Amino acid sequence: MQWWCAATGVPWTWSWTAYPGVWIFVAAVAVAFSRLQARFATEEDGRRAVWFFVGLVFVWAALDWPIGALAAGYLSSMKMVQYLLLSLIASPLILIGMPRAAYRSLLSSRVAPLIRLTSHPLVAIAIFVTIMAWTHWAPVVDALMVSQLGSFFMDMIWIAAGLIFWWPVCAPLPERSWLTDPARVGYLIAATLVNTGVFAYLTFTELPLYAVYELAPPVSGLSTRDDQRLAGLLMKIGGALILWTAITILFFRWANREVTREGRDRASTAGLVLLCLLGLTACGAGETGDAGSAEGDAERAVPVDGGSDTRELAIETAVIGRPLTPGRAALYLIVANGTTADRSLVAVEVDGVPHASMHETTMTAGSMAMRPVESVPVPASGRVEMRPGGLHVMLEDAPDGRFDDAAIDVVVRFDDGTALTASARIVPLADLESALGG
Amino acid sequence: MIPQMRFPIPSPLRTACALALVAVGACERPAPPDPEAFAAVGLPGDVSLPAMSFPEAGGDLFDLHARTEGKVTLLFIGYTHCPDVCPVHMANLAAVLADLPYQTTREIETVFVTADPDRDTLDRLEEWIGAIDPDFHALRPTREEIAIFEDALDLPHSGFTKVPGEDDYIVGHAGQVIGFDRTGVARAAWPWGTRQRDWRRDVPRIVNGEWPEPTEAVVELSTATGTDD
Repeated sequence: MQWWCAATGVPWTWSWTAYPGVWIFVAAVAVAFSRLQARFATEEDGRRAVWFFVGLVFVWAALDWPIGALAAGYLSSMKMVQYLLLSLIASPLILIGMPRAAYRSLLSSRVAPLIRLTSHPLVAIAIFVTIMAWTHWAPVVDALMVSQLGSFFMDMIWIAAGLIFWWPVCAPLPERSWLTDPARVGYLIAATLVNTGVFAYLTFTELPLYAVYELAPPVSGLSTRDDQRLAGLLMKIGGALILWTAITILFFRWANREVTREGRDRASTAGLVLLCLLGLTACGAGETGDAGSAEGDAERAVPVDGGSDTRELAIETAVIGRPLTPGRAALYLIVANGTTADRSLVAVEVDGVPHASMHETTMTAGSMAMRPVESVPVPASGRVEMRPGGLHVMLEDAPDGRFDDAAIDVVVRFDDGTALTASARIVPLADLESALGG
Repeated sequence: MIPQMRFPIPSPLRTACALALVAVGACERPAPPDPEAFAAVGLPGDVSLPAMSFPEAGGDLFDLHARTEGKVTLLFIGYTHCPDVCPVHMANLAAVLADLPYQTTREIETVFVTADPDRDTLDRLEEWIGAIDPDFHALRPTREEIAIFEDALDLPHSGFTKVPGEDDYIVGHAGQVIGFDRTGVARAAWPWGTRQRDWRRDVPRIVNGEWPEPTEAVVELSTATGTDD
């Protein structure tokens, strides 16, 4: 009995074959996830967990009989189906379904610098392309697929590559994402192009590339060359379909926010239907920032404790102007209230800054003055925008170097007990207006 | 008979090397194959195509001498119920011949001889070979003729093994395609595992009269690889 699918040279039959290693792997992942859920998950995480299990089902389908077996030793086109399932479909769903607190815990651990590096879009796509190219290179395929260990390694590296690739898009912590929605769209469009090399390698190479498939017992009427061409087309067309579906989802979600922001109807039903089709709706499901994000620097917020009806209450933007002198800076927020109740912003806490207080700058008789503000109203179905020369949060007594980072975590508290977190970007003073969408 | 290796042995060492290859990049690339090397084993030239005639699928008697005279002949002994080696070996060769110019392919006769005449009727052979390449010749000798034919070529006899628990049997037979020059002398044997890129390189060369040098380690066809399908 084989524990993992690998090329054997045995003639193919449609008789079911057991691969217990696949079951053990899938079960172990499910158990590990359940333990993570028990430790970290909120009610919202619980709802989102379904996406994790949908992703895990795709992983199982890709690794087990018949897809796994056909992919390992018979058809390169089926290997491509497996690749698409693992790297482009299952991976984002797994990311989406993970509890956010687990990610926060991970990002507080010693591996945080590595995660921050690999989640940079340029790094992520570079890693993805490198792995994709490498694992389709004939000597690697021929060497790995003839052993169970090698085949297992190939499958695992595809899942890992998928997780890395999708992280900047389906970032489980939206406040830590590198990319805004429009930038995510651009990222995915770029991803539709980067597989062109491998596609051409598979599709236009005249002779069969992979000995493991060329010398495999025949399965269908497909010749080895046609099977290889089909694999290339699947990579290009199948991959493009998946990516463009995600692009469509992101676009509609972004448009939806823009529409909501202007107080008009929500985005078209067609977009939402599309979201449901591939289950990728969850790219944004559970993100409390659904109510909106600014074009250039959306920082959707996540409730951290208490509160009610937080679905439509969101921090769209959080920006700090990098101070010219140490110790003091100003934080600007754009907060949207999509609920039917008036809210007031009553307190702001900034990580590592001992004093944060809300102020308003006013002009009186040509003289500028600043006065403290106890609370900032955020009307129902309305928003409040803090901008230089108006409302802002004064940050004082910060230690030296506190504003040298790219971003700082902030917690914004409302009068009903709701608390939202966001990552405030720190930008040069000259870029404040553009960062605030001005 | 030496057992046929269908795929490289999945040894832990090989896997470890492959993983290392993936891990460290192309630093440890395997040496590129010698572009001049034949995929075939060179034969000493002491075996010739016998003067025999067998019924041909879709035709009459096929006189081996008369029909291959002055041409390069590629011969394979197999059977149509063979699930892997026979159809793959033949299909790879056919795919390459389809790409080569007519000036080359008209100089070649490809002959498939069944080792399983009981099940391989002429109709079945015609259907099977037609699906691979209608220009290939499929021959159906009797079992006795097959044994004589294999002796003449210094090949091991085909063997029949019953499948336990089933009303079926498998046939062991030589796994290589044997190449005969224009005078009917066996000059090379392409083992199972020969790829299309190998055929693409080797076929034009043998048509031009270039054959691999006899390999010292393999001086007789009977020591070449066989296969049990």
